[in-house]
Amino acid sequence: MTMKVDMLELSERSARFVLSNTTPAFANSIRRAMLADVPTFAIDDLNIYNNTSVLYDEQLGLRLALIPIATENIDDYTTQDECTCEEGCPSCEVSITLSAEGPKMVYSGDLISSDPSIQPADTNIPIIELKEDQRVVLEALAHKGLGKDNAKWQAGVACGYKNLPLIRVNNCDKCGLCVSECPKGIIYLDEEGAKVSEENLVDCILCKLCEEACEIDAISVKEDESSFLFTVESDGSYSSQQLIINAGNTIKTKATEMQEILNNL
Amino acid sequence: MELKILNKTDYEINMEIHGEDHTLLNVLKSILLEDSRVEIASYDMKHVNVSEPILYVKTDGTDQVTVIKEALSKLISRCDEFNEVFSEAVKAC
Repeated sequence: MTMKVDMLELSERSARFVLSNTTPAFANSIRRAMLADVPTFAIDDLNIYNNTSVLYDEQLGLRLALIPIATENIDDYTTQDECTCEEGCPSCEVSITLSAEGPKMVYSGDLISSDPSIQPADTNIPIIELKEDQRVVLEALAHKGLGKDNAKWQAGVACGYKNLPLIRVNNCDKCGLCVSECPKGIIYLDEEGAKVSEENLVDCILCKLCEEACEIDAISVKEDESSFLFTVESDGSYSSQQLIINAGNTIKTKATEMQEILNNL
Repeated sequence: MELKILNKTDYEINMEIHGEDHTLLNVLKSILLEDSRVEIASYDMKHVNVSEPILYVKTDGTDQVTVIKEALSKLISRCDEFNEVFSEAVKAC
Protein backbone atom coordinates (compact mmCIF):
# COMPACT_ATOMS: atom_id res chain seq x y z
CA MET A 1 0.00 0.00 0.00
CA THR A 2 1.32 3.39 -0.88
CA MET A 3 1.70 6.12 1.69
CA LYS A 4 -0.89 8.84 1.74
CA VAL A 5 -0.85 12.36 3.13
CA ASP A 6 -4.00 14.39 3.72
CA MET A 7 -3.24 17.99 4.58
CA LEU A 8 -5.65 19.43 7.11
CA GLU A 9 -4.00 22.73 7.92
CA LEU A 10 -0.87 24.32 6.58
CA SER A 11 0.55 27.67 7.53
CA GLU A 12 4.01 29.17 7.64
CA ARG A 13 4.71 27.98 11.19
CA SER A 14 2.42 25.03 11.73
CA ALA A 15 0.88 22.07 9.97
CA ARG A 16 -1.61 19.32 10.65
CA PHE A 17 -1.80 16.33 8.38
CA VAL A 18 -2.82 12.71 8.31
CA LEU A 19 -0.18 10.22 7.25
CA SER A 20 -1.69 6.87 6.41
CA ASN A 21 -0.59 3.45 5.17
CA THR A 22 2.66 3.48 7.07
CA THR A 23 4.18 1.87 10.16
CA PRO A 24 4.36 3.33 13.69
CA ALA A 25 8.16 3.06 13.46
CA PHE A 26 8.32 5.27 10.38
CA ALA A 27 5.93 7.85 11.83
CA ASN A 28 7.98 7.96 15.02
CA SER A 29 11.20 8.39 13.08
CA ILE A 30 9.75 11.37 11.26
CA ARG A 31 8.65 12.87 14.58
CA ARG A 32 12.03 12.29 16.21
CA ALA A 33 13.87 13.67 13.21
CA MET A 34 11.79 16.86 13.24
CA LEU A 35 12.56 17.40 16.91
CA ALA A 36 16.19 16.44 17.12
CA ASP A 37 17.87 15.76 13.80
CA VAL A 38 17.09 18.69 11.54
CA PRO A 39 20.05 21.10 11.69
CA THR A 40 19.51 24.79 12.44
CA PHE A 41 21.57 27.79 13.39
CA ALA A 42 21.72 29.14 16.93
CA ILE A 43 23.93 31.56 18.79
CA ASP A 44 26.56 29.44 20.47
CA ASP A 45 29.38 31.76 21.49
CA LEU A 46 29.67 35.38 22.59
CA ASN A 47 32.35 38.03 22.63
CA ILE A 48 31.11 40.68 25.00
CA TYR A 49 32.73 44.09 24.64
CA ASN A 50 30.49 46.04 26.92
CA ASN A 51 27.64 44.96 29.15
CA THR A 52 26.43 47.46 31.71
CA SER A 53 22.88 46.11 31.68
CA VAL A 54 21.19 44.44 34.64
CA LEU A 55 21.74 40.97 33.21
CA TYR A 56 24.87 38.91 33.69
CA ASP A 57 26.77 38.01 30.50
CA GLU A 58 25.72 34.36 30.87
CA GLN A 59 22.04 35.17 31.18
CA LEU A 60 22.25 37.38 28.14
CA GLY A 61 23.93 34.50 26.33
CA LEU A 62 21.13 32.12 27.28
CA ARG A 63 18.52 34.52 25.98
CA LEU A 64 20.35 35.12 22.73
CA ALA A 65 20.87 31.40 22.17
CA LEU A 66 17.16 30.69 22.25
CA ILE A 67 16.32 33.14 19.46
CA PRO A 68 15.36 31.07 16.42
CA ILE A 69 17.49 31.89 13.41
CA ALA A 70 16.13 31.35 9.94
CA THR A 71 18.44 30.14 7.20
CA GLU A 72 17.73 29.88 3.51
CA ASN A 73 20.69 27.74 2.52
CA ILE A 74 21.69 25.69 5.54
CA ASP A 75 23.32 23.00 3.37
CA ASP A 76 26.05 25.45 2.40
CA TYR A 77 27.28 25.43 6.00
CA THR A 78 28.92 22.71 8.04
CA THR A 79 28.83 22.08 11.75
CA GLN A 80 31.84 23.17 13.71
CA ASP A 81 32.92 19.58 14.42
CA GLU A 82 32.95 18.66 10.75
CA CYS A 83 34.62 21.86 9.58
CA THR A 84 38.29 21.72 8.62
CA CYS A 85 39.07 24.98 10.38
CA GLU A 86 39.95 25.11 14.04
CA GLU A 87 38.66 28.40 15.33
CA GLY A 88 35.71 29.28 13.12
CA CYS A 89 35.50 30.23 9.47
CA PRO A 90 32.80 31.58 7.12
CA SER A 91 31.63 28.07 6.27
CA CYS A 92 30.78 27.09 9.84
CA GLU A 93 30.20 30.34 11.64
CA VAL A 94 28.07 33.44 11.25
CA SER A 95 28.81 36.56 13.18
CA ILE A 96 25.87 38.54 14.55
CA THR A 97 26.47 41.85 16.27
CA LEU A 98 24.37 43.71 18.77
CA SER A 99 25.01 47.24 19.82
CA ALA A 100 22.44 49.11 21.88
CA GLU A 101 22.29 51.98 24.28
CA GLY A 102 19.53 52.79 26.75
CA PRO A 103 16.91 53.84 27.38
CA LYS A 104 15.29 51.30 25.10
CA MET A 105 13.96 47.80 24.81
CA VAL A 106 16.33 45.61 22.82
CA TYR A 107 14.55 43.25 20.43
CA SER A 108 15.85 40.41 18.29
CA GLY A 109 15.37 42.73 15.31
CA ASP A 110 18.30 44.80 16.60
CA LEU A 111 20.70 41.93 15.90
CA ILE A 112 22.75 42.59 12.79
CA SER A 113 23.87 39.51 10.93
CA SER A 114 26.95 39.48 8.72
CA ASP A 115 25.15 37.17 6.30
CA PRO A 116 21.84 38.57 4.98
CA SER A 117 20.45 35.06 4.38
CA ILE A 118 20.81 34.20 8.07
CA GLN A 119 18.50 36.33 10.21
CA PRO A 120 16.49 35.99 13.40
CA ALA A 121 13.18 34.35 12.50
CA ASP A 122 11.22 36.96 14.45
CA THR A 123 12.15 40.57 14.95
CA ASN A 124 9.97 41.19 17.98
CA ILE A 125 11.50 38.92 20.62
CA PRO A 126 12.46 41.04 23.63
CA ILE A 127 16.03 40.47 24.80
CA ILE A 128 16.66 43.06 27.48
CA GLU A 129 15.39 46.39 28.68
CA LEU A 130 18.11 49.02 28.99
CA LYS A 131 17.81 52.07 31.24
CA GLU A 132 19.60 55.40 30.86
CA ASP A 133 23.37 54.98 30.29
CA GLN A 134 23.21 51.19 30.09
CA ARG A 135 24.96 49.64 27.13
CA VAL A 136 25.28 46.27 25.46
CA VAL A 137 27.90 45.76 22.77
CA LEU A 138 28.61 42.22 21.72
CA GLU A 139 29.45 39.89 18.90
CA ALA A 140 27.51 36.64 18.85
CA LEU A 141 28.68 33.63 16.88
CA ALA A 142 26.00 31.38 15.46
CA HIS A 143 26.83 27.79 14.63
CA LYS A 144 24.98 24.98 12.96
CA GLY A 145 23.83 22.24 15.28
CA LEU A 146 21.29 19.54 16.05
CA GLY A 147 18.38 19.54 18.46
CA LYS A 148 19.66 16.39 20.14
CA ASP A 149 22.69 18.31 21.42
CA ASN A 150 20.84 21.33 22.77
CA ALA A 151 17.28 22.63 22.63
CA LYS A 152 18.46 25.89 21.06
CA TRP A 153 19.07 23.99 17.82
CA GLN A 154 15.64 22.41 17.86
CA ALA A 155 13.66 23.37 14.76
CA GLY A 156 10.40 21.61 15.59
CA VAL A 157 8.89 22.77 18.85
CA ALA A 158 5.61 20.93 19.15
CA CYS A 159 5.75 17.85 16.97
CA GLY A 160 3.61 14.88 17.78
CA TYR A 161 1.09 12.46 16.43
CA LYS A 162 -1.83 10.36 17.48
CA ASN A 163 -3.48 7.42 15.84
CA LEU A 164 -6.72 7.93 13.99
CA PRO A 165 -9.66 6.00 15.44
CA LEU A 166 -11.42 3.06 13.88
CA ILE A 167 -15.00 3.37 15.04
CA ARG A 168 -17.32 0.44 14.42
CA VAL A 169 -21.02 0.42 15.14
CA ASN A 170 -22.95 -2.87 15.13
CA ASN A 171 -26.59 -3.48 15.97
CA CYS A 172 -27.13 -0.02 17.41
CA ASP A 173 -30.46 0.46 19.24
CA LYS A 174 -30.29 4.26 18.89
CA CYS A 175 -30.44 4.89 22.63
CA GLY A 176 -28.26 8.01 22.22
CA LEU A 177 -26.11 7.38 25.32
CA CYS A 178 -22.87 7.57 23.31
CA VAL A 179 -23.96 10.83 21.70
CA SER A 180 -24.40 12.56 25.07
CA GLU A 181 -21.23 10.99 26.53
CA CYS A 182 -18.84 12.04 23.75
CA PRO A 183 -16.78 15.01 25.05
CA LYS A 184 -16.01 16.17 21.51
CA GLY A 185 -19.62 15.88 20.36
CA ILE A 186 -18.73 14.12 17.13
CA ILE A 187 -21.22 11.24 17.33
CA TYR A 188 -24.69 11.75 15.89
CA LEU A 189 -27.72 9.55 15.37
CA ASP A 190 -29.36 8.80 12.07
CA GLU A 191 -31.85 6.16 10.94
CA GLU A 192 -29.30 3.32 11.08
CA GLY A 193 -27.83 4.27 14.45
CA ALA A 194 -24.84 6.12 15.86
CA LYS A 195 -22.43 7.59 13.32
CA VAL A 196 -19.31 9.71 13.13
CA SER A 197 -18.77 11.81 10.04
CA GLU A 198 -15.48 11.43 8.15
CA GLU A 199 -14.30 14.99 8.69
CA ASN A 200 -14.93 14.83 12.45
CA LEU A 201 -12.91 11.64 12.82
CA VAL A 202 -9.69 13.61 13.46
CA ASP A 203 -11.31 15.24 16.51
CA CYS A 204 -11.76 11.90 18.29
CA ILE A 205 -9.42 11.69 21.27
CA LEU A 206 -9.83 7.91 21.68
CA CYS A 207 -11.21 8.35 25.21
CA LYS A 208 -13.56 5.40 24.65
CA LEU A 209 -16.30 6.96 26.82
CA CYS A 210 -18.82 6.03 24.13
CA GLU A 211 -17.73 2.40 24.43
CA GLU A 212 -18.27 2.49 28.19
CA ALA A 213 -21.59 4.29 27.90
CA CYS A 214 -23.04 1.78 25.47
CA GLU A 215 -25.04 -0.82 27.35
CA ILE A 216 -25.20 -3.35 24.53
CA ASP A 217 -21.53 -2.99 23.37
CA ALA A 218 -22.67 -1.83 19.96
CA ILE A 219 -19.90 0.71 19.49
CA SER A 220 -16.19 -0.06 19.51
CA VAL A 221 -13.27 2.36 19.18
CA LYS A 222 -9.83 1.13 18.23
CA GLU A 223 -6.62 2.81 17.19
CA ASP A 224 -5.80 2.63 13.52
CA GLU A 225 -2.16 1.51 13.73
CA SER A 226 -1.37 2.67 10.22
CA SER A 227 -2.82 6.21 10.26
CA PHE A 228 -1.28 9.09 12.13
CA LEU A 229 -2.53 12.58 12.71
CA PHE A 230 0.56 14.74 12.89
CA THR A 231 0.71 18.13 14.54
CA VAL A 232 3.84 20.04 13.64
CA GLU A 233 4.98 23.43 14.80
CA SER A 234 8.18 25.10 13.68
CA ASP A 235 10.10 27.70 15.68
CA GLY A 236 10.60 29.76 12.54
CA SER A 237 14.01 28.42 11.48
CA TYR A 238 12.16 26.67 8.67
CA SER A 239 8.66 26.86 7.28
CA SER A 240 6.62 23.96 8.63
CA GLN A 241 6.54 22.35 5.20
CA GLN A 242 10.31 22.58 4.79
CA LEU A 243 10.81 21.15 8.29
CA ILE A 244 8.78 18.04 7.47
CA ILE A 245 10.57 17.49 4.16
CA ASN A 246 13.92 17.99 5.89
CA ALA A 247 12.96 15.36 8.47
CA GLY A 248 12.34 12.87 5.66
CA ASN A 249 15.64 13.82 4.05
CA THR A 250 17.52 13.45 7.34
CA ILE A 251 16.41 9.85 7.75
CA LYS A 252 17.28 9.20 4.12
CA THR A 253 20.78 10.65 4.61
CA LYS A 254 21.33 8.45 7.67
CA ALA A 255 20.23 5.35 5.78
CA THR A 256 22.38 6.22 2.75
CA GLU A 257 25.39 6.79 4.96
CA MET A 258 24.97 3.43 6.67
CA GLN A 259 24.49 1.70 3.34
CA GLU A 260 27.71 3.19 2.01
CA ILE A 261 29.63 2.01 5.06
CA LEU A 262 28.21 -1.50 4.63
CA ASN A 263 29.12 -1.48 0.93
CA ASN A 264 32.72 -0.69 1.82
CA LEU A 265 33.06 -3.42 4.43
CA MET B 1 28.39 7.40 11.59
CA GLU B 2 30.75 4.54 12.35
CA LEU B 3 30.05 0.84 12.30
CA LYS B 4 31.82 -1.74 14.37
CA ILE B 5 31.00 -5.39 13.83
CA LEU B 6 31.28 -7.03 17.23
CA ASN B 7 30.76 -10.59 16.04
CA LYS B 8 29.42 -12.33 13.01
CA THR B 9 28.55 -15.97 12.46
CA ASP B 10 26.66 -17.63 9.59
CA TYR B 11 23.38 -16.79 11.23
CA GLU B 12 23.94 -13.84 13.51
CA ILE B 13 25.49 -10.42 13.48
CA ASN B 14 26.08 -7.90 16.27
CA MET B 15 27.11 -4.46 15.25
CA GLU B 16 27.67 -1.28 17.16
CA ILE B 17 26.46 1.83 15.37
CA HIS B 18 28.18 4.96 16.60
CA GLY B 19 26.35 8.26 16.52
CA GLU B 20 22.87 6.91 15.84
CA ASP B 21 19.81 6.45 18.02
CA HIS B 22 16.18 5.30 17.89
CA THR B 23 15.46 7.60 14.94
CA LEU B 24 17.26 5.27 12.55
CA LEU B 25 17.48 2.02 14.49
CA ASN B 26 13.82 1.55 15.37
CA VAL B 27 12.58 2.03 11.83
CA LEU B 28 15.41 -0.14 10.49
CA LYS B 29 14.52 -2.90 12.93
CA SER B 30 10.85 -2.78 11.96
CA ILE B 31 11.72 -2.98 8.26
CA LEU B 32 14.09 -5.91 8.92
CA LEU B 33 11.29 -7.76 10.67
CA GLU B 34 9.10 -7.45 7.56
CA ASP B 35 11.66 -9.63 5.74
CA SER B 36 10.83 -13.33 5.94
CA ARG B 37 14.52 -14.29 5.89
CA VAL B 38 15.05 -12.44 9.16
CA GLU B 39 14.32 -14.42 12.29
CA ILE B 40 15.32 -11.90 14.93
CA ALA B 41 16.08 -8.22 14.55
CA SER B 42 16.56 -6.04 17.57
CA TYR B 43 18.70 -3.31 18.98
CA ASP B 44 19.80 -2.31 22.42
CA MET B 45 20.87 0.96 23.93
CA LYS B 46 22.29 0.47 27.39
CA HIS B 47 21.90 4.12 28.25
CA VAL B 48 19.76 6.76 26.54
CA ASN B 49 22.47 9.31 25.91
CA VAL B 50 25.85 7.83 26.61
CA SER B 51 25.92 4.42 24.98
CA GLU B 52 25.95 3.43 21.33
CA PRO B 53 23.17 1.18 20.04
CA ILE B 54 23.96 -2.43 19.21
CA LEU B 55 22.00 -3.95 16.34
CA TYR B 56 21.44 -7.70 16.45
CA VAL B 57 20.16 -9.57 13.43
CA LYS B 58 19.61 -13.31 13.09
CA THR B 59 18.71 -14.68 9.69
CA ASP B 60 17.91 -18.09 8.23
CA GLY B 61 21.45 -18.25 6.82
CA THR B 62 21.31 -15.42 4.29
CA ASP B 63 24.16 -12.95 4.63
CA GLN B 64 23.06 -10.45 7.28
CA VAL B 65 24.87 -7.52 5.70
CA THR B 66 22.93 -8.06 2.45
CA VAL B 67 19.68 -8.21 4.39
CA ILE B 68 20.49 -4.98 6.25
CA LYS B 69 21.49 -3.26 3.00
CA GLU B 70 18.19 -4.25 1.43
CA ALA B 71 16.30 -2.95 4.45
CA LEU B 72 18.15 0.36 4.15
CA SER B 73 17.21 0.61 0.48
CA LYS B 74 13.60 0.03 1.48
CA LEU B 75 13.87 2.78 4.08
CA ILE B 76 15.37 5.19 1.55
CA SER B 77 12.56 4.52 -0.90
CA ARG B 78 10.02 5.06 1.90
CA CYS B 79 11.57 8.44 2.73
CA ASP B 80 11.42 9.38 -0.95
CA GLU B 81 7.83 8.24 -1.09
CA PHE B 82 6.97 10.27 2.00
CA ASN B 83 8.58 13.43 0.62
CA GLU B 84 6.83 12.91 -2.68
CA VAL B 85 3.32 12.39 -1.28
CA PHE B 86 3.85 15.20 1.21
CA SER B 87 4.93 17.65 -1.50
CA GLU B 88 1.92 16.64 -3.57
CA ALA B 89 -0.41 17.22 -0.60
CA VAL B 90 1.15 20.66 -0.09
CA LYS B 91 0.60 21.55 -3.73
CA ALA B 92 -2.99 20.31 -3.58
CA CYS B 93 -3.97 22.46 -0.61
